[in-house]
Amino acid sequence: MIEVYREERERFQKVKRFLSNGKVLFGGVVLLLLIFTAITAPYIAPHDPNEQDITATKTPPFWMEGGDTNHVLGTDSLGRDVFSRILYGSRVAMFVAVVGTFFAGLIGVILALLAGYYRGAVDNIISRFVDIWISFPPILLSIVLMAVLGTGLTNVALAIILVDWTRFCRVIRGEVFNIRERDFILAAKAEALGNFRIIVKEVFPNIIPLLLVLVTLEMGIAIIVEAILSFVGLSVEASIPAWGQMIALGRLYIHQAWWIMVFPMMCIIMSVLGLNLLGDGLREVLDPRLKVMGMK
Amino acid sequence: MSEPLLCIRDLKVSFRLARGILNAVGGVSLDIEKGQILGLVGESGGGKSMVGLSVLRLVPEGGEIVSGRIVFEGTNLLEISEDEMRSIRGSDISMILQDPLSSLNPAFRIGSQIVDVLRLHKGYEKKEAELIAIELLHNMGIPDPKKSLQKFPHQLSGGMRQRVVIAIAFSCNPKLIIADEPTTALDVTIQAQILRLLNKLSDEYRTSVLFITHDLGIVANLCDRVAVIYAGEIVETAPTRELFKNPMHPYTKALFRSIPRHDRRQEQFYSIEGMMGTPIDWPDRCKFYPRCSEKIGACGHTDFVEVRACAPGHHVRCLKYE
Amino acid sequence: MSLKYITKRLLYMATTLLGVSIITFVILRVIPGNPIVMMLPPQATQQDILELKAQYGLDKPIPVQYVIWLKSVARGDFGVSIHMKQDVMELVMERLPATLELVSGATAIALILGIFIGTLSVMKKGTYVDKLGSLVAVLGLSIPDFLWGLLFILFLGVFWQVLPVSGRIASTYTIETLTGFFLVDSLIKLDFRGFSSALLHMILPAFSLALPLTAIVIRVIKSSLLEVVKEDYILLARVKGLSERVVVFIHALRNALIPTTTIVGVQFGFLMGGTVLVEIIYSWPGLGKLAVTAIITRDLPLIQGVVLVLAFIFVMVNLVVDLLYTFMNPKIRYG
Repeated sequence: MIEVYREERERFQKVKRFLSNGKVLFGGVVLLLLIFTAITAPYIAPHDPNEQDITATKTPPFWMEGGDTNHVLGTDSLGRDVFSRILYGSRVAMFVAVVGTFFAGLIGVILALLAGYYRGAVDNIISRFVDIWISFPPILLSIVLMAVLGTGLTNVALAIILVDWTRFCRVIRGEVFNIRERDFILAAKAEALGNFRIIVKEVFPNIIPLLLVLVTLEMGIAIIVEAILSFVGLSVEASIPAWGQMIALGRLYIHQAWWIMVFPMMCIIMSVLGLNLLGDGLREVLDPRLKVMGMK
Repeated sequence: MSEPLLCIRDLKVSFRLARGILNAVGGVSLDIEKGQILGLVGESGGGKSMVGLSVLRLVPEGGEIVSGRIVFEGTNLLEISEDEMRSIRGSDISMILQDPLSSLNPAFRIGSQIVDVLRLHKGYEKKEAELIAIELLHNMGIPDPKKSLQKFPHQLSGGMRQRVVIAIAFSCNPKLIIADEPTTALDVTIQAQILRLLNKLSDEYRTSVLFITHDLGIVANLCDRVAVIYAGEIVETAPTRELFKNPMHPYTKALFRSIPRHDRRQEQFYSIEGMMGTPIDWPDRCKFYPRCSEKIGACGHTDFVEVRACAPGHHVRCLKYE
Repeated sequence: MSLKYITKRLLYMATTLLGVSIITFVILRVIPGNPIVMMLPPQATQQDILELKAQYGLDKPIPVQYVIWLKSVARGDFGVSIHMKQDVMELVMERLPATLELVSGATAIALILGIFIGTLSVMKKGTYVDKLGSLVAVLGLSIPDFLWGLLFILFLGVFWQVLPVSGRIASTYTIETLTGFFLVDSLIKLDFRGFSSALLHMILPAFSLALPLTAIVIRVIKSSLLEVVKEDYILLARVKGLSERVVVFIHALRNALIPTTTIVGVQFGFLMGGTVLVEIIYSWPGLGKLAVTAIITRDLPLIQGVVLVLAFIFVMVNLVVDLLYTFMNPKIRYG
């Protein structure tokens, strides 16, 4: 009975610790907002994002002269509502971030677990492969991949997966090395448990904290990569609104209609900032090393 | 009777931690005369290093000298400005740290680490300072001093490094040196050499030494006077010979008992029961009470134990002697 | 630095580059969109296409093509750009200095700013300087270089027209290229107006690239300084009576710089391959822009050439960084 109570209290305190960290709070809110917008965009967007209105091109945001509350953040060069496009753009951002990060993480973590645990020849091969892959300038690699695969949302996610799995692999592999040396692993080995079981039950749970931090960082990177690809015209189909694409197109009208570019920019910045802070905050909370003032 | 060189009165040092305020040093008073070597003996965590650091006002981050006086040559060091303190550090008062490998900057050559003190406090030109440094190293017994100037710390042995640290400490002819366990990290054979060196130098330069250690054996040969510290308080002070002949405080007596004897076989090794703990455990009354084998009735009830003289020059903080 | 170590490293580098070239080769041959088709007018016949294909050797099986390419690379011949009809190496060498100059400038800015802000942050922990430093660090990491670029253009080129936002130098100037580095060449010729024009043009793009890197530098400096400051030799430096400024900037920093330069060096390598967007935005005539053009036009020889050169630079930079590390760490250098 007391055990159960104690467990509950521990869990509660853990949650409290998470929430009391300002960065986690802020980042968490941003992430939730993103997810919410992505899911509800079709319902809350005031306009169809692709609806063109030649009579109302390049209208400024409603608080500026010439603005219109019908188009809160203005319209672009084809008269499309910027606000609606931004809301829909979050869907692309989230898709790319979630799918790209998940599979990149999957590949990276599996290879990292194998390389870090078995070491020796397995590690050599995998590490070599990672080294070679990393020597390919990542931005160019993603551009080349898109040129090969062709434009499209899923291809963008695929390109991100193919470029970013190496980061997961490298970092997690290092962590696996650390964990491998720890006592409880040696103990498990001494008990002659199968390697696979050890990896799954002992090693993997210990990389989860680091993995969480990495995931948040990667999601931010995925959003940025999509934007980069949009700039060279190799991202999603033209009919799908994406923040990067909006920026690339908006750039052409930077003098007359800066808002077309600025609002999607702010979205990207806020999203990446939120995700980065979330990662930072998680790292702070999950780091078991306590900071104690030195007492000689 | 001239004024003591260093006069510490009621020094209190606290640390502000997340879990509360820890009193690392709770009212330490001691005197060091000119040319005297005072041993400050106690176990780890007892506050002795903190006393040494306080004299130089280099208490680590999170810590604070809360109250007390540290009077050096008539001036209260706790009241002067940081700039004035800096001019005293390294020239009038100097320090030798415990681990010679980590005391020297691994990225700079030995020569430059001696020269910078000389140039800072004495204003020498680089060439002059280098010559003096060579002289110093020679005095420390380091072979081929000129070549050694160019070496990096990791290229020297532990004993040699400590000699360099000592050289740096003596370089500006300080009046007081605080030696914080200077031989603890060294081999036993090297220990003896370093102690002899310290003794010789303190005679030569007429320097007072505050010798901080946990080893009573060292104290016997080197120090003129000894102060025993426990849980942030001085529990006994006496001239060395007197202390060894006639220890008064139960803690001091226990310390003597726990020194392994070289001259006859022992049935058991004596160790003091219990642990000193950390400042958070220390009560306001007698701190040795839980481990004391000579408790009397009043010990559990009295809140503050005063220091009393029980023989000329011999002071104890114990209710048994009130 | 034994000979054995160096040869091992060079071998390692060679195999890495080989791997990169194979991957590039294979990926590009899978590419849809035929460069040949793009080159010919719409009326071209199947025969024309086949002829041109043969001319460029694209009709042979992939492994054979690779070997042929490898052999000519060994001779230093990277082929001719299909689209631009120029020697690939020539094209690359034309554009390389522009990117190098830009990245070097960005790295220098990042180092200076980062070390300064990071060190001050540690010295004045908790004060507004520290908070400001953290803010810069977080913003730098969250806003990618091209967004900085757009922000700068927006505020300093459009709203307030303070700095130039296009090209390497004002079109009214020409700089005789000796090294290809405008800043160097103009100084050699004592062409101060040319120098200032080149410098002004470089400010915004260099800062755009520099800010994310600055954030990294601030983080590394802070964390390594905080570690170093706990060491005994820092206490001894204070015991000697040295001023806080000397203690931190000379004694502590010297040790904290060792991991810092390693990381910055690696980032330099990454940056060389990552200037694409900034070059496009600022119309900077560098390798990044060349690479993108090549990819879009499916210019196989050019793509291969650029990618290989960039990979080579990356691998070389890593080697230099490792050597630099052993040089800077007295324990290894004077072991």
